[in-house]
Amino acid sequence: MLLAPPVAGLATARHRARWPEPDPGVRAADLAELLRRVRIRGRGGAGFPLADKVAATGGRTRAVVVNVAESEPGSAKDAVLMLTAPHLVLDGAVLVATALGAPRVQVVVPGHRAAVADAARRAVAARDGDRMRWEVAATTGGFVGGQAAAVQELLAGRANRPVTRWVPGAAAGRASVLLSNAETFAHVAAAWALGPGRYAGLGTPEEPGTTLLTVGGDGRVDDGGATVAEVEHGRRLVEVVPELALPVGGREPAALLGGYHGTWVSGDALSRVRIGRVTARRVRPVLGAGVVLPLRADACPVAATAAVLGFLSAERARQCGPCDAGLPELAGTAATLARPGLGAPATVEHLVMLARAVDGRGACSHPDAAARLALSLLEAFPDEVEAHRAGGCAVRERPAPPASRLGRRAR
Amino acid sequence: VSGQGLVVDWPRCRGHGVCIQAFPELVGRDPWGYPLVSGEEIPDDLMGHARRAVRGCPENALRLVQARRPQ
Repeated sequence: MLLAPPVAGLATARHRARWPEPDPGVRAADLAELLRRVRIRGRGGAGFPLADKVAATGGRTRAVVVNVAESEPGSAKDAVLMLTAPHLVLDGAVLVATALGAPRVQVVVPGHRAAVADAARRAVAARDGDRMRWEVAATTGGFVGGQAAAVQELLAGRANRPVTRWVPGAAAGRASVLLSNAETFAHVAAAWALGPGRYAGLGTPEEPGTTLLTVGGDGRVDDGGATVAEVEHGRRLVEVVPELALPVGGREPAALLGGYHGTWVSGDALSRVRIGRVTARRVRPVLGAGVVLPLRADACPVAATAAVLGFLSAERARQCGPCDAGLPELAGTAATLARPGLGAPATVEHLVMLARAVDGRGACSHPDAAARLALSLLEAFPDEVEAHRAGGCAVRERPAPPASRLGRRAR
Repeated sequence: VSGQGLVVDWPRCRGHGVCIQAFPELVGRDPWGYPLVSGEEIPDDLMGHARRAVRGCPENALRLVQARRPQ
C-alpha cells in the first residue's frame, strides 16, 4: 500500500498519478469517523490510538507536527518513506491539519541523516496547492531528541531534549499541537484515499491495514544491511522474517524487538509474536516502531546487550540524576558481564539492582527502556547469562555452526 | 486518604536530599543520593511531612499531584 511500486519519490506529478490531492473540505468529524473505522495507531513506538490524540485536541489545533526524527539506529522505515513516498506522508499531515483547522505543518527531520532531511526539505518545497504554512526543523538532540516531548521543545525554540510531563502528553486534554510519527500520516492519507473498506481489507478487525518493519542493520546487534518491508497486521513475525523460525548454531532463534528501547525475545515467545501493536488481551508495543534485530548465530547476546547499553548510556541527555549516574554503571556492568573471565554471580545481581534503580526515574522513558532491555537479556537468554555468570561464554564454547549459516543472511 | 502523591521533576533534582530528611517515611535514597518516591497516595496523617518536603526542596523539584492508582 504505502511502499507499492512505482516509486514516486519527490516528484509530485508521479505521486498525484496514484494518490488524490488532500480533500480541502475535510472536517474534524470526517477524520474522527475515518479513524474510528480504521483504528490507526501511532507508528513512533508507543502505539497510541490516533483517534484519541485527535480527540485530545478538542477538534482544533495550532499545528500538525510530522516526526521524521527516527533517532533509533535500528529503524530505517521513515527514511525509506521520505525517500520513496514523501508526499503520502505530507498529504496525511495536510488532511489532519485541514480537519483540525491548523494553518501550518511542521516537519521535524533527522539532523543525523542528511539525505533524509534533504529529501524532506525538497518534498516540502515541491508542494503546491496546499493552503498550508510549512516549516522544517532538524533535530540536534541525538537518540532522545526524537522523542515527542523533545521534538516539541525543539519547535518551541529550546534545547532538543525531553522535559518532565506532568500528565502523559498524548492523553492531555489540552493538546495545542497534534504530533505523530511520519508513517502514521502516510496511513491517514492512504486510508482516506482508499476509503475505510479497502484500507481495512488488509490486516485484522482489531488492527486494519499494514505497518512498516525494519529488519537488521543497526550496526551493533546486526552489522549487515537493513531491510524495510511493508507487512499486514496480524501475520506471524516468523512468517515475515523466516530466519527467525530456525534454530541458529545450537540455540533457539532470538531477536531484539522494538529496537534499542525494546526487549529480547527468543524461542517459543518469538514464534508467537504477531505483527501489530494489539494482541488478544492487551496492548503491548512489542515491535515498537517496527524494529526487528535478529541475533546472528555467531553473536553473543550478552555482548550485544552491552554494546546497546553502551550506546544508550552515551546518548543519555545528562539532565536527570538517576539516569546520568545509573546508565554508565548499568552499561559498565553489562560490559563486565560480557567479557569472558570477568563475569561473576554478583555481576548479574548488580545489573538487576541498577536496572531497578534507574527504572521510571527520568523526564523521559530512556532509563526505563535501558532497564527493560537489561532485564529482558536475563529472561530471554538464561543459558548464555549463566555461562557468563560462571566466567565463560556459551557462544564461544558452542560447536561452530554450519558454514552456510555463518555468512550474511539471505534475503 | 489525601488522594495526593509525590512526583520529582528529574531535570531539576540535584540530589540535595532535603526531601529524604523531611519525609523519611515515604522518601528513600537511591545508590547515588537521589530520592526514591513511589507516586502512590500519601496517608492523611503524613501530608504535613509531604508538604514540608515540597517546601524544603532548594530546586523546587518536588510536587504534590493527584496520586497514581496502586497497580
